[in-house]
Amino acid sequence: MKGWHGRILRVDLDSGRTWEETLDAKTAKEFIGGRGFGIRYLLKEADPKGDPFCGKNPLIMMAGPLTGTGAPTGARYMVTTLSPLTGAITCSNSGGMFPAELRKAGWDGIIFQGKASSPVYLWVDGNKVELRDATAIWGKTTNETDDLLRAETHPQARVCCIGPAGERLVRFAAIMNDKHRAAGRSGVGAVMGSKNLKAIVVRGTGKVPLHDPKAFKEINAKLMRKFKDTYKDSPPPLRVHGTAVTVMATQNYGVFPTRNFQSGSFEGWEAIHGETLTRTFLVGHRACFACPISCGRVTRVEEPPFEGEGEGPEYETIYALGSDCGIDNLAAITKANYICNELGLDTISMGSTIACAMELSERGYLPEKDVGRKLRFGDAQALVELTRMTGYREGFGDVLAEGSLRMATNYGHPELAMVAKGQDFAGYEPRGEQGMGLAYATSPIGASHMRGDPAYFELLGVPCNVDPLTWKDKPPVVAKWQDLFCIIDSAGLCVFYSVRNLIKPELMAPPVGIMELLNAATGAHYTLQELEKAGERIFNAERLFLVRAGFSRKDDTLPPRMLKEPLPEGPGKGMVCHLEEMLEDYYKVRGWDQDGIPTREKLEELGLLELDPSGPREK
Amino acid sequence: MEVRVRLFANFRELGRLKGGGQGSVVIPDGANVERLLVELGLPPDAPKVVLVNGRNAPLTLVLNDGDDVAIFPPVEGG
Repeated sequence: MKGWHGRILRVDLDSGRTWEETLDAKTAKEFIGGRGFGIRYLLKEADPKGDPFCGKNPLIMMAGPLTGTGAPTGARYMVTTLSPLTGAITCSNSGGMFPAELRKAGWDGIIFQGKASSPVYLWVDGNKVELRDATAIWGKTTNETDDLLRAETHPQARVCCIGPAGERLVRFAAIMNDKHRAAGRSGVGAVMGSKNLKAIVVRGTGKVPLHDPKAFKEINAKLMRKFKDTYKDSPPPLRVHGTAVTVMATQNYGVFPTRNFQSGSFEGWEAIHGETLTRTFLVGHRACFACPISCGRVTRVEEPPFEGEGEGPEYETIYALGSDCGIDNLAAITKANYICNELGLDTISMGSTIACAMELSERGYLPEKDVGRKLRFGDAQALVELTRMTGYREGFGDVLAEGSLRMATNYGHPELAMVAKGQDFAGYEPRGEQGMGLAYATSPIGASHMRGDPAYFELLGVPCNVDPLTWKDKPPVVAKWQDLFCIIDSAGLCVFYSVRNLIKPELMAPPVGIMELLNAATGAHYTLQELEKAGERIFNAERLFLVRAGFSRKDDTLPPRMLKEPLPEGPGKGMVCHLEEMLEDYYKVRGWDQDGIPTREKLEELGLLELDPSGPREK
Repeated sequence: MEVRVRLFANFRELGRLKGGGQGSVVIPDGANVERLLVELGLPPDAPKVVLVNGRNAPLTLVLNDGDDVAIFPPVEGG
């Protein structure tokens, strides 16, 4: 095999045994890698109705065939497992340097099963694999863990680890790598913590074998020339201002979520905008492996009491810890971001959960004595303190650690949790961005902007402008982009680069550039149709897993605020999200029945019947 | 007629608009978005998003007195 190593590292934490498993070429081509491999193993090995924290739940980490090859932004890996936040599948993606290092060490991925009896970490030094005692580093922050483990293994090793939040099973704990990069969403860090697995440390000095190195190099050179030409007048805005620059876009469209999604316009937006970040706290920018964009923000805050240094904030973090909490204090947002990174927390769910608590409190549903303070929107000090308390499950932090839906349900108002399938919304208001509403509702992992991101065509003009306020035209496009993201996430690429440079600039987004790279790397001779089919296969495989976990149309929904309360201001004033109308057409486009279950014909067409031997399923 | 223009990110420096990329611009009656871009001196082939009163606007859209125009380069929010 080329492109793929065809080697998966298996680790049984019950027995401490590690072994190599080979991957066949047919499966590799059909599921591509990364996210595709993740769901393929999850379908085979996990109990869809199982407890995310039981030993049987596999923790699957998979890179893609382009990860570590030098393909532009080929830096990413996917963590797939049962989510303690949503109760179903999750997959969470990260870049940085760790995934490429894993591939240079000769592995496509690692699957953990079982639970260690005491804290351990995995040391992968090329082919040499060893489980080591991690008792001494249990309790350390992610920064400390990274430093300590590189000192204990190799200074150039790459570390992915959990912080105190993952150890304490915070339901939205992240897995951090290279200190500041996060597989952030749906509690993958808590699953890692439940296995007593503190970290994975990798050192790789090899190369990924390529099918046609000359052709691969030529494609890369061509892509780099195009990239340089595009930005000949000025550097990419993402490098200059980071993703935080998107604040002005969502604010102008009136979809910048504000005060727990009570509005899409935030009066304090300029204070927390990316250009403000550039002027105030920015120290430098940092790129993931083989990335020409370099959007990472290296920042330092010197304003007391929010001093600190690290990376961030990203746009999503600014929405969640900022406007959604009614906070226009960029120093406090950045400080809370640092705490999330060090303790290993998803910034999106952290902010959204605090925003939910603020609304519960303001409406009189959350007693002051439970929180220990009067909680109001805009309280920057509370934001920072509650973030730290959540990571350690201290005081009211123990309630926040259960996530917004569980918390709001406990206080009798589940409708105030801004979630789909139990996972908090990203930074786009679905009433002012109809396609995003459909994407949140039908994303397999619960609300996410990274499962087919309609913001590209609804807000950002990529590959063309589609009105964010229309809904009848959205189902086929959203479905197509969901499949496209399956391909990007499975190949090991970054969305930011891929959608602007590796698809044909048409609304239905044919992934021609990804196909070229994959074929040169793997020699798998994908046709465009085969590659698009693989994307659809992966999305349907995830759906199949959800169906087996008991999910159906009733779960493809949004909070009543999105469906019944008109957006109060901005360009989308008066709009609700027309989800039900979109779902009807969406299921037809997907080849699913009225209840959102993939038909037998669809599964057969995608070659998924063999992965679904269970026959008739519960509804 | 006069429209209100706000330029963001690198367009602040690229565009011919004093006052940090924000201000009023006088254009002939009946001018469209494309004409405004020329007036602002923005590179015609640079990828950009143009919003008029918060809605996506094609280059051919005819502007009205008092319109609010926001123009920004390619961004994304991860």
